[in-house]
Amino acid sequence: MRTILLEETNSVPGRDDEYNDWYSNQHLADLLAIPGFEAAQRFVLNPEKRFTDSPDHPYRYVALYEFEGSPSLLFERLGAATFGANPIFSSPAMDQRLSVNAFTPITDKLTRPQTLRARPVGEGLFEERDAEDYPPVLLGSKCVQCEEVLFPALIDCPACLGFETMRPHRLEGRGALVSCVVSERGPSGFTVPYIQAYVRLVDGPVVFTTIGVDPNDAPSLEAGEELVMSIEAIRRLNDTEIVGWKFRPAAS
Amino acid sequence: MEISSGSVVTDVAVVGVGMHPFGQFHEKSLWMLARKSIWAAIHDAAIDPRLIDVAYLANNYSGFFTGQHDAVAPIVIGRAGLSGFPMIHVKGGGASGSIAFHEAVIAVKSGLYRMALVVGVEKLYVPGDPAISITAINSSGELTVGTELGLTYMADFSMSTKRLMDRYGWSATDFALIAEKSRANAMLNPYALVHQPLSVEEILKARMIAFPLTRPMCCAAAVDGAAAVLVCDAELAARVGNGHHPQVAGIGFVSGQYISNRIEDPRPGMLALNESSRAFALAYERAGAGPEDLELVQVHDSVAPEELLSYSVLGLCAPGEESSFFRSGATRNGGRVPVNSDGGLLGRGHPISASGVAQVVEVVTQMRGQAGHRQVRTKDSTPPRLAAIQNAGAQGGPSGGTGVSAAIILKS
Repeated sequence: MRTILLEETNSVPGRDDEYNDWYSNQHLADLLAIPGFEAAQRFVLNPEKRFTDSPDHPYRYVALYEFEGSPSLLFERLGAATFGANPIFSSPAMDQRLSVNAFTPITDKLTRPQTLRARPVGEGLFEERDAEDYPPVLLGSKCVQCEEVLFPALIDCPACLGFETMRPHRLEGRGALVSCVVSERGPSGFTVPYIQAYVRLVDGPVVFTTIGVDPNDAPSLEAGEELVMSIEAIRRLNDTEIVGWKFRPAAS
Repeated sequence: MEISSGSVVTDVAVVGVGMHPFGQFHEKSLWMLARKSIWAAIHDAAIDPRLIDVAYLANNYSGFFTGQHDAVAPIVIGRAGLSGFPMIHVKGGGASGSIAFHEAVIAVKSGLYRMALVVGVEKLYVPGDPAISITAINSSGELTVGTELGLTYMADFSMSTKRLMDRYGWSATDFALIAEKSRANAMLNPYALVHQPLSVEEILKARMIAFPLTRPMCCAAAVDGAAAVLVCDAELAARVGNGHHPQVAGIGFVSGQYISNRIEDPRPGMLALNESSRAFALAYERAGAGPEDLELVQVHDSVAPEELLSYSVLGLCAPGEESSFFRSGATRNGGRVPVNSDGGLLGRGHPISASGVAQVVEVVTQMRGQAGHRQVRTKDSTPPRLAAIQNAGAQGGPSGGTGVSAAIILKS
């Protein structure tokens, strides 16, 4: 278990510099040399107050120690180290009316939730738009010469070999399920099992996608079923969420 | 070495083969695997290594795992003690080994080089982290619209397998029978990953990877291994080794061709082997032979259904007859045209870049009659005299098809 030791002190009037020199440059290190003491830090009282009518704090200095072990073990070790009034554990510049207390944690050490960075799976592949009135689209291209529709977008057409004949073309995020399968293995960052699928978009191209349906419900998915696309985080790698597309049955 | 005079188009022979076993060798570096196969090939050919005047190294993922993206060929081959001649690094998914072989054949056929070393080496096994191997292999497919979104090859294979089951009436039992054959053959191959036979029932009941593919129906790719061969012109071949050197009869090499989105079925998935079909049309024509002439075949069986489909794609049987053709025993060792006599990808393991070269090693070993307990024989009791290799790898581009597909035919 972890114990926090809070030591609140004042210097003898007029000997502040001598006191700080002893405490910061000698005393902290002396305590850290005692087995179980793992961290130490000093603080000085700031004159600014949250409430102007609150009473003055009786101590100008605070030292905070982290000790691995129970409070009784802490005081036993501290007592053994200071036994015989070992002079290094006190200073004539310290006011002897000090307050020393041990505290035991009653919660885990909480930290602010980590902020995740988001990264699209690739640049220029989709447009999120306002999901209500303007559903997300995939950014493909269409050939002005042979009308082939492609995703992802190209500049030259692989169907008619037209040079620079492809123009940007938005593809609707709707299509029909071609085939799907529950995969029990996946690359880093995917939670298995998950459903992999090919979807034939209403605009023509076939795209790969994962399906946002519980893998246990995969048998209910049928070839030809109408699916709609959403843009969302599809996997997490360390502190980065990778954003791409996912399809779900249109009815749900 | 001087360039031969006269015609620059020469016959090309394979004069040396060598392997490092396929398996999990976490304690060994890439070059340690490679050097073992390189020197085995040199000793097999019984040549002075100073005869080697060009080398092609197939390796896909050393950059992914170690950060050594470039200079891979001189580093890996150099650490086998060889130096001074051009060393060329190639990659192309599971076909990397075939690409290296293809380039070596061109180099010798051109007359510019006489003795070419081909090495395929891969390290993919990471203890306790199968996902990292999948992530590495996924970089052999198009990332942004595929693997980064969660696509895995085994799931793609599963989806196309289900279509073929509907079309041809194949069953999971067919796939289990194929896997059983591959494992049984691998038991006779000292370089194979698999050392344990499984019954059809055990294979059907094994852990599901993606329906209908259970674990033994999928090749293991988190595997380390290396294979090497030496190819040279026929004139030089006659003066080295034991004099029995299979020659390259024909090579077909293609990549995925764009299929318009306006047709009914624009993206049949990885298990269509459209590219293999085109590659074999070229290879048969160049070899002046047909599927009926083949006496041994090595196919790229990433999953068991891929071997089944290859039977009709290579023309060994008609489309739709794969299952009955297989159940006739024709493709078992001892059958009319044994397929994957050494266990194939399912039994040998699939350290990606090494597989294409290992296929050449097995075919040459069989054609020389040196395959020991797994030696196959023709109806005339000879070792196989005409053998074919099908290999494929990488995926993506607008076609979504196979990046590289190879058909290699060797003759005695």
